[in-house]
Amino acid sequence: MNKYTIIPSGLRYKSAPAVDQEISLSLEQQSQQITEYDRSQSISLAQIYDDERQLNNIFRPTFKVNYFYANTYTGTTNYTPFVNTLYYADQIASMDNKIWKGFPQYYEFDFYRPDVSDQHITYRAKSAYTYNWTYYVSYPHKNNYDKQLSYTLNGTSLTWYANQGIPFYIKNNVQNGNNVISFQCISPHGLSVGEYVELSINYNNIKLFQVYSLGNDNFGSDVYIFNLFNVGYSGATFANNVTGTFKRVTNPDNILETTSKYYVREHKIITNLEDCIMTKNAFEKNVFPEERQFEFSSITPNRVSRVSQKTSSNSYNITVNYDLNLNDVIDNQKRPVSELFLTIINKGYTGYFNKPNNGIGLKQGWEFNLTSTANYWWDGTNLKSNTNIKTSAYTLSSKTFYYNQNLMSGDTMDGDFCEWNDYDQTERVVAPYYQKIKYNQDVFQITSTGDTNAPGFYYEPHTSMTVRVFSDYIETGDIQFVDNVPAYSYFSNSDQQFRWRDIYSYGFIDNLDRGVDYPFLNRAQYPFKEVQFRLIPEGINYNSALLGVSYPVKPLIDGCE
Amino acid sequence: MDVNKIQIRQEGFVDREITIPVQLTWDYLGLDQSIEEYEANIIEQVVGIGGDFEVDRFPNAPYTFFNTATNRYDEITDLQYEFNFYSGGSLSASTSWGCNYQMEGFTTDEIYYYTNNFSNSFFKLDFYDNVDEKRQKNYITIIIPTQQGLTMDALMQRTPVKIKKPYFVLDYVGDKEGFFVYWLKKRNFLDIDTFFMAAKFYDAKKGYFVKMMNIPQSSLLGDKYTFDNTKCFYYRVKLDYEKHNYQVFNMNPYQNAYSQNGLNQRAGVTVPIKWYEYVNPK
Repeated sequence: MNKYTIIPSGLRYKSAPAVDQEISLSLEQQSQQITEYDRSQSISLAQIYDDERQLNNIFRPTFKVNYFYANTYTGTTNYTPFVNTLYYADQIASMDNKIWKGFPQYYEFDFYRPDVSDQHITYRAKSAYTYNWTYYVSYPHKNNYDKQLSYTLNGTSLTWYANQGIPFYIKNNVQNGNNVISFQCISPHGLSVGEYVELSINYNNIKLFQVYSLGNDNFGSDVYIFNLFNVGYSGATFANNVTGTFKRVTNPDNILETTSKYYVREHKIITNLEDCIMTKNAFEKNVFPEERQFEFSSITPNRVSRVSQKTSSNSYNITVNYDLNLNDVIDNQKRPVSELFLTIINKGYTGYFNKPNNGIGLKQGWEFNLTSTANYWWDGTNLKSNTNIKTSAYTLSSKTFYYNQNLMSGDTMDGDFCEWNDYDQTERVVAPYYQKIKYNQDVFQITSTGDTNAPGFYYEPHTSMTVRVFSDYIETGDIQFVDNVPAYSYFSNSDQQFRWRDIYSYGFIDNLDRGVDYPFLNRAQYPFKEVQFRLIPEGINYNSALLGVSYPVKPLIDGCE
Repeated sequence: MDVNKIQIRQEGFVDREITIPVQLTWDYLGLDQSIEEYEANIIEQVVGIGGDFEVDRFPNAPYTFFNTATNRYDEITDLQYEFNFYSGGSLSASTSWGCNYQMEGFTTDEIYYYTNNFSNSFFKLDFYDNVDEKRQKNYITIIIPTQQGLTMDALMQRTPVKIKKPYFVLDYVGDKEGFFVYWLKKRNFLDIDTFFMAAKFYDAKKGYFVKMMNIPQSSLLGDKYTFDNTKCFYYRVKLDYEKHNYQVFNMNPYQNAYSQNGLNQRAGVTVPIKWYEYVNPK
């Protein structure tokens, strides 16, 4: 530093006076003249529109629902209002034995129930769309890793917790002259050749194995079967019929971070019953015909002629009557919500269905629980397959009619069985969630003897609507650039980096055709989704051809499609 | 001497320092943000603020009553309109008005076969913001077609038939044309929650509008043409933005159909909203 010394004035010389001293500091000032047009901004309406659109998280979703169902079970009843309104089957025999057999008419299944004047309920027009079904919007808000699941294999129940992964069943095989150990999974395994699996069983304390190939000789089996190369494993570890669970591992050198997690998604309902408005889509019908028949008065129990209808093919529209603000709403992976779900729940107010056990009439399960014939999982006495939706009841003519209660905003319910990989930052639905309704055998008997596990109808309550899309690529960020890392990113200890997928901006569609481009107006996004809602009778789309494991039969899609 | 008694002493050859605080007021702090804010403000002035013109569906509010048949509280949602036409008789006789299209001049055949002059006729409900005809604005119009409505017995030649009558029970399903009011969802553009409903009938057979009032002229005391327009031509419609529904109220103190002194009583639920053809002075 400079050798400046400040000497008090009184010490400068003998008898020097003490005076104030000052130090003058000079500050350099720089200024810049703002030149004209330097700050001029061209107003681009397109840019303003896009800016507003990207910042906006207000949603007004609309769903178009095509409803497909098959009214398949004939039954009998001694409750007069129901007897007089059936779609009769085998009327001549019924005339003889006085036991009228038939199908409940279409309006017991349809979304819209007309005023049929069947002397059973006091019809209220306001409830026309909510007598049979109720509709909500939900989103997955939590993961349930400890959900107990069950699968019936060769007559025995295989029970496991969701976090243990996907169950399998071993069958040794020969493929192209090589011995392989085939793992028949109860759901799509999500593996690729070269990836690894961590098994619940071990061979000499080794649990990690590389996938050698997929599938066997059957069409579509590659989705359900993966094979390990049998290098000559001895003992009973990989013997036929051994069962266990596996988890997917993408990198054997980083097992901790690249092992998939398995869980059941828990949905939170965000609308009340009256918030979703359903209307018929004018005159639109689906491709299936509506079956009607004329019931001659001479062969009806009450001697009244009428036209009865077995099925309908209506199409519906559902809108939400207030805005859904998704700002600060995070999903089950703590990310901004990217999917809303239309949740359709059976209500069955007329009481044909839902006789409860322990207060619950509606059963639930996952795709792997849908076997060719109803298994014990769906038995009325199995409390593990109960939903959390309680029933209410009313009594008429000494018969009790049950129906499911409405859900309310804030209620939660189970969803799909899923896989999540922290390193990949991807979620996969392993097995979709189903609910099952069964006829109340006290009201309508479809089996000759009482059966707690009578056949019924299955449906998928949750249908996804994509409102935002995460990128196809993974972004990484170093610790020192934490400012630019989104809050939902995953920190990889092995890489010492944050990992995440970007959210595509609205209107951007990538080269894989991923993205959303919904209309934006009135300061709100207007997403639209066409939904195919199916009510599936027992066992119609399943076979058990693959070695004891039942596989859902999907529509065939060839290369052109 | 007015200085602090601070002395700086030399300590061997150690350098000493004086720290002089200099306050800096940074003129450019937040300048960029200010410019952006200014820019946004100017853009807003130039292109305007994006308004929300989405409409919402307002049904008639449910009416709760104690149902003695079921011994519990029940709810009805339908809204009823009764239109009465003037047959040409005495203005002092209440029987000069009746709830059927024949009194307006339609024949049974025309009504039964939905001929063009009948099916092209309609009822028009206009929703105004106030009752002063000089400054009122019509914001909503609802059309009720003649194809809707209850039926009545009639003779066509000698054949007994059912024909439409101008009595409408509107609800969520069935006859629902005119049941819902579609109005702005947000109140920041037009903040109106009370409308005044007037009614007309378009007679396609004669080609003119027939004005309706909420009380028959036979009920007017004295001169049948002198009355308070603001009370006799309107019903009050109140929108509830929270519950997404509306209610209709009587605003004529002489209309006793809705109970004694029926002013501000709810109309259209247990007793229909009554409209009577207005007869002009000749």
